[in-house]
Amino acid sequence: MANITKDVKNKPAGLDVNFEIDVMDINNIVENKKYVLKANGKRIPTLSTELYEGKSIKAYAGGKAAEEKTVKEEIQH
Amino acid sequence: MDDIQGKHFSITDPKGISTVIYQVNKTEKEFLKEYPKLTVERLEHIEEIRGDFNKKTFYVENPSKDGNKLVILSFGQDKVVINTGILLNDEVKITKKPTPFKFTTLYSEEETEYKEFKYTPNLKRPITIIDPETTEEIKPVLYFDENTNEVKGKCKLKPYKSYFAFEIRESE
Repeated sequence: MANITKDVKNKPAGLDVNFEIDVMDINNIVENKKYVLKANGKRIPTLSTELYEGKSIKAYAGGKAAEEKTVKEEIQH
Repeated sequence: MDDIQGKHFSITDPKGISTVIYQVNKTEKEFLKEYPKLTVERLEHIEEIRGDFNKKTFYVENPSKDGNKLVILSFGQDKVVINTGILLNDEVKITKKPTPFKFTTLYSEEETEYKEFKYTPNLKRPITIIDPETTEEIKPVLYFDENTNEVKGKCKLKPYKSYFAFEIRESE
């Protein structure tokens, strides 16, 4: 599965990592018990979302842990 | 004052669309014999409903100076749009032309309780299975198969229902 144990060390995949996404047919996963699965999926016309190639979204400082810490401090004061 | 850890960014889902985002992680060398090179980790998020729109703020706890590659999945009623992006410095850039896929009904035998399936022979395959209706992941249960002497995974799938499954692999 995608989530491996916490003991396994990993780091974010950055600019130097290229990957592809394979959409799979669950019947292949559960019935064939094979390691090699073909990508499967039916391409359809674009579903409207606000995301498109080249779009840029502003990111701000502060993860969830930092935000929760701030809220906790505010409550204590 | 402490340094602020992590980053966050927001996107807005229109009615009927639900977006989830995964960060792609690279496994350290010493674990590569047993584990997949690339895995995904779902980003935590909060939601804020605004009329017909749902503003979602996603959190990246460990932003890297080399960037954090992202897989962005937008689920509609019977389809999903796949995007990829990268968080680099103070921006998330969408790097892939959106690829829409339609779900097929993957399993439709008799209507019974949840059914269990073996779905991955070992831990080397970073397969993620998602219920498109809830966008929740279908978590596997690991067990030891005494017949084959292997740790296996199985997950419960409902009949007459579509699921979305994907895996990532390194490419050139």
